Amino acid sequence: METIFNISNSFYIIITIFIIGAIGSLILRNQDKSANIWGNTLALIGSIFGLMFAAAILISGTTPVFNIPSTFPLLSMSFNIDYLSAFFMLIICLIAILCSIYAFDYSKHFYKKYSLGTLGFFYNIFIASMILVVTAHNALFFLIVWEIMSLASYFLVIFERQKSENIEAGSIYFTMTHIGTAFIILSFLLMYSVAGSFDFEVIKNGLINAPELIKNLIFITALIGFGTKAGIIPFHIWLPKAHPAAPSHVSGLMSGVMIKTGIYMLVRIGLILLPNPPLWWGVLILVLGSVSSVLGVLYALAEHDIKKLLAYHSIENIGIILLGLGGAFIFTSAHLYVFAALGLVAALYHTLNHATFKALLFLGAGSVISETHTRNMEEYGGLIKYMPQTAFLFLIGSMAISALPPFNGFFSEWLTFQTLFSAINQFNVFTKYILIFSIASLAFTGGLAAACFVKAFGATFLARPRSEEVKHAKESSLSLLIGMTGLAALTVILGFLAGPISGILKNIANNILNIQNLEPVLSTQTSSVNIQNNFAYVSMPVVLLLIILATAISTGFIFLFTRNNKVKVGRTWDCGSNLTPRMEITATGFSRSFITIFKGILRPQQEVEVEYHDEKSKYFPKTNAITLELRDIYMPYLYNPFQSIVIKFAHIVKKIQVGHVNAYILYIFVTLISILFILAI
Amino acid sequence: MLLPFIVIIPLLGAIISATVRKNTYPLQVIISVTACLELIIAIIATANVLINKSYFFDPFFSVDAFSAIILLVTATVSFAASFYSIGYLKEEVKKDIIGFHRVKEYFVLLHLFLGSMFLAIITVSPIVMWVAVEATTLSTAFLISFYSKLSSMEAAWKYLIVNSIGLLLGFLGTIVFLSPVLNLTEDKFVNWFTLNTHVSLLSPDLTKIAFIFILIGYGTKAGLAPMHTWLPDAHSKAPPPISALLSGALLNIAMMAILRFKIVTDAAVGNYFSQNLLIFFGVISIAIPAFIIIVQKNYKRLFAYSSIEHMGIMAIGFGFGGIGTFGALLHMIYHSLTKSVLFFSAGNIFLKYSSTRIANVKGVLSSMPTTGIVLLIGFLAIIGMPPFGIFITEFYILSSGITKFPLVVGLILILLILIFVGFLKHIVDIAFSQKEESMNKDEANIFTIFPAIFLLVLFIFTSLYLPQPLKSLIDTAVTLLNK
Amino acid sequence: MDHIAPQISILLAATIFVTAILLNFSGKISISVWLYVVQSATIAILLLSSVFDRFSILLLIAVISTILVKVIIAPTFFLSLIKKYHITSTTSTYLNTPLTLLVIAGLLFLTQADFFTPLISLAPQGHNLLFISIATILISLFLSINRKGAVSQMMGILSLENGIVAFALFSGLEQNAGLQLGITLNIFIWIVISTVFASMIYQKFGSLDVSTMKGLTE
Repeated sequence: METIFNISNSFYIIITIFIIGAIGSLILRNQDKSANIWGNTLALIGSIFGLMFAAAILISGTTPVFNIPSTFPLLSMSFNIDYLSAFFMLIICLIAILCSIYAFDYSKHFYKKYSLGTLGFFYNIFIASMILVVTAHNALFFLIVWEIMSLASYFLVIFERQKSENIEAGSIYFTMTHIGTAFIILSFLLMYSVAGSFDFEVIKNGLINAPELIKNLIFITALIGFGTKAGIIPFHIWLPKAHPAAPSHVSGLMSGVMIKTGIYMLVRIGLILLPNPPLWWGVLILVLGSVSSVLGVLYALAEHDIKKLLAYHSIENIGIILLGLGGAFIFTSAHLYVFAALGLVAALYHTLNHATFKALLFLGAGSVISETHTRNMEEYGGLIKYMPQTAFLFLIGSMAISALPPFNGFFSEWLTFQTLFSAINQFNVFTKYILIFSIASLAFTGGLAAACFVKAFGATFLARPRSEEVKHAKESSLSLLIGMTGLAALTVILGFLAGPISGILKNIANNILNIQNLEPVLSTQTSSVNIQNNFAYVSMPVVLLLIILATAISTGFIFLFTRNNKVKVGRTWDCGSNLTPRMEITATGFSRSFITIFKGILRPQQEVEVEYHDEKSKYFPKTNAITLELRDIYMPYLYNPFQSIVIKFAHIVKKIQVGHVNAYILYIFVTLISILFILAI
Repeated sequence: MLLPFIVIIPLLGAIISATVRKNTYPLQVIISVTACLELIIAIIATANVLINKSYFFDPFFSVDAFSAIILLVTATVSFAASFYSIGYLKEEVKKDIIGFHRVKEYFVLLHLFLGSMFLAIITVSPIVMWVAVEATTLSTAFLISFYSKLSSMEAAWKYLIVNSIGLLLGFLGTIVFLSPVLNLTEDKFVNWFTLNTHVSLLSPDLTKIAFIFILIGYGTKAGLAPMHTWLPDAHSKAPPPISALLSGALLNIAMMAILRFKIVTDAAVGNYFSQNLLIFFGVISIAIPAFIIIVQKNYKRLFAYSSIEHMGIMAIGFGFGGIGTFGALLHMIYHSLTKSVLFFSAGNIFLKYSSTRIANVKGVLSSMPTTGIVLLIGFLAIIGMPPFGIFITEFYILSSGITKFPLVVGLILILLILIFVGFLKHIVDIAFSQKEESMNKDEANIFTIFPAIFLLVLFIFTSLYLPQPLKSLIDTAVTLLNK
Repeated sequence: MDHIAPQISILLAATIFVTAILLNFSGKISISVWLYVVQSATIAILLLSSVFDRFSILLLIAVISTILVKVIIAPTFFLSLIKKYHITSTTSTYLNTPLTLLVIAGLLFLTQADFFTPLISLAPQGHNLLFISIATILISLFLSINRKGAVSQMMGILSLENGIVAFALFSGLEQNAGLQLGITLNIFIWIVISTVFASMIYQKFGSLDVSTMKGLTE
């Protein structure tokens, strides 16, 4: 028993379960139902075992190190599962469990149209590769599983391949992730040039005395490469296209988990592999975090495609995670390790929290979309009457993402604020201002996120249905509800248990930073979290109790005062015209005010198309169409110029194939003479 | 004892095929038999090399670790291409594109082509190698102009002229290498061994000039830019199995010639000289296709430019040395397998869509599922996606250069991204778009599918697990090349 | 080459060289063909003289085959090609005559340049001869680049090959019969194939002007 279930074997068994799931789905691809059940069940089993494995490592405190040698030189499939890896593995498996449960019924609407065997195949490989990514300990092996993860997610994004916008989204995603990987390859090659090996442990020792330039280059290339995967602005352009295109449970996994693998590697490279980060690294991360969070939420506000809105929110939350992480970096550079631990705790906690509520929101959106067959929020409305439980769960997710207590988002944002606040005093003027700017953007983001979800929830579920499809919507089926309820429950539990969880995270952070025996700044008890001996203090049960009390008291009062009132039903005053559902405030309408305020950043555009009854006199319009959209500033200013230069250059290069054979001989002749000439010099 | 048969069998095959009348069936039998026999002999020779370090048939033929790899790859690709030819030509005859005489001509020339390739690999004399490579040019010239269209003629003429000039320059280089040894040692036949042992007789300046002629001369045949101009035309106008052989086998042989002379040059002048030259040509060979692939409109030309790019990567690998040589050799194997798979898929696509323009081919995945999946896997493989082997070999090559040539490595990474972007766009256009409503969903006969799948399985197996014999073979070859 | 008087070898070398230059300027294809015949005959004479030096059957066979292929068979093929399609004049060139002369002069100057000096070390006593061979090589290359006719390009390649053989001879490789035989066989097949191609091109494209074949770009 001992040897069967020893650590490395258990790990291999977990990965094997996923591989069996993948191959089995492919074999069963001609029977939709069996493929669906096989793929999702095995993914579920694998994730459950993975969860137990990760939890066991976190509890027991061991760091298993094992490997499979391979016949390829320089490559050894080596694993090192320290606290950081185990934590991320836990997040992956947790969300995967709930998404797989959801997928049982969700995939049903792909029957007959697309191959569920392919879905199961890539889905299992996707999860398995993510687990391998966070546990790999050899740079070449890491790159291989990283690209496999991108490949699997690419095929999942283009799964519904009959829609051409999905194919396009997939291409942009694949291209951007490949560009990111090229930067990551460069980063690892630089590490190799200094350390002489691809093993992370050897790299860590080799980088201690590396020249400053190399260390900075490694960090920058890693930031760009992993930042592309994480969705940091300005490398984010693939995210709003790819996440909506994928099937919803996959979107949940991609948004909730896959982009966090970028954060994982940033932590590993920045804080573990590279010694002594200079101050500007942390400042850079803070700036990127602030920009991503603010711009992410602003773009989300302007969206009326529900999945795109959620995708932009992922960018915003990555920004928030980066704020915590940036704090950790700047504290590390100042050798204030206990505060760095605080920043890390904030970042890691928010990683976990975002995974839960983002997955919840995507699953909810998926339910809505599969009932109404459109992603456009303008055509929703009144769904609360048709899908009450989904609406309730979506509400919980919205409240969590808006950082409202007693849900988990509140506590991780609180911790992020605390990190930034405690940093203000410790640094020079320039950094102080960056910190103040970051705090401001965090506050700003929080407010706007709440506004955005008021819009999202309201436009989707409240008021009256704005299209016919909505009236045919039915409540989500059981597996969908179980998946979502699980996640919603997690948001509450993770909020309630903020104390103990912060404690666990503190251990993780201490392990990362190697500061086991220093007096921590953050002290956590079962029922409260406080910082620096009650400089800041929050107690989750108290908050929950207060909320419950407040709700109870206000409900009680209202009941007392109105129980004798009669309820009269009548028409809303409508100024004499007939009110239709189209006259409700729409998502676009709601966000107009925000867009107008921020029009300098967002650059809205308006296109009016009028068709007249009489083209000559143009007095009586027949139809009037207005298209409002935000001008994308990244494609035209950053990526497209690049693209057009390349294409122009390509056309020039193309001209060397002249077509005349004499020219070809001339090339050979000139090359010969020139090389001989250069040789002689 | 068995070795010369690898040249004799194809020659016999050519002669026997030339006597066949009226029916294509005997031609198919002959090519199947010869292909199997050639592969078996190649495997036996390789096994011998593994056991004994080299395999002689004195005094004319020999195989060492390096040529064993190339022999094995050539035999494997020929094996697959021969069977694919059977299937492909069968379909073309069915569609009345060609008749019996053409098919006979094709197989006779194919046998001659294979025979000259094997001769070039196993011969011990640089002169005979040159003659054999020239013979490949001559035998393939008519294969390229096979379809008697204007564009094929044009491609074949350019192929003939440019390659002849290149090979003549290579011949001059060979002479300059050989003449000091010939004159001063009274040896009648100079072979690679005597050349290597008498390296001290070569003056450094002379060797440098000779190597330049060799590099530019055989480099024309190998498809290194800027001598590559004939390659996109020839590889795209030839029948697909021939394109596969040209890209997957012949380019390797030309590279082998350059490397054999590189060993001599390195012994005479140190390896900085050949290193810089190979890197220079390699980078240009990646840069030019990188841009042209982005604006390419024809999928067979696309694959041809990809061959040029991979030859460039190999040249850089051999130039960097160290683990780069290991990577380049492994890359040679993987590239030959994958490129053949791609050309076979291109052939199947052409059979169905009758056009080589990317704009005219839509929805391959829906109309020809097997070929579509094979095409996708081939594309992912050739572009360097893990878990396929080309990623690892490109990575080895990049790692070997990062310490001394970091800027070159950075440039190569950028160029590889450009190639990825262009290639992805074209393959997505071909595979994922919506197919025409009228097109039905079927594949051609089994012979057009089986060879590609055979090579693909071989490739995937060796990508995931490098068998120990193969690894020690490559290691031995690396020590030969890196001395 | 110690058996021939140096003057004679220089004369022979010069013949090869001059025919190469004249090939650049010939107006009619038939003149090009005859120039090539002269060039090949010279090579054959050089080879023949080496037979006197060190007699061997193999070498004699090589000489005879060279004469056969280059001096007899080649012109037959070419002339029949011309007769079949009634082609008389070659097509134009890219550079006009004065510029061509200028380029040739430049190439001659180039051969004197530093980077060819090491090649001379191959045969220190006959270094003029080697220079002339290298010049022939460069000029033949230029011939293929400059002239637009298919036959001219073939002539260029054949002349290039003659130049290389001359180089080999002058640097002392004439003893190697295998070399000569191999080359001759190659040239024979090459001539056959390229003539067939040339006639196919004429049938398809309507002329032997290579610049009409410019369809394959990008």
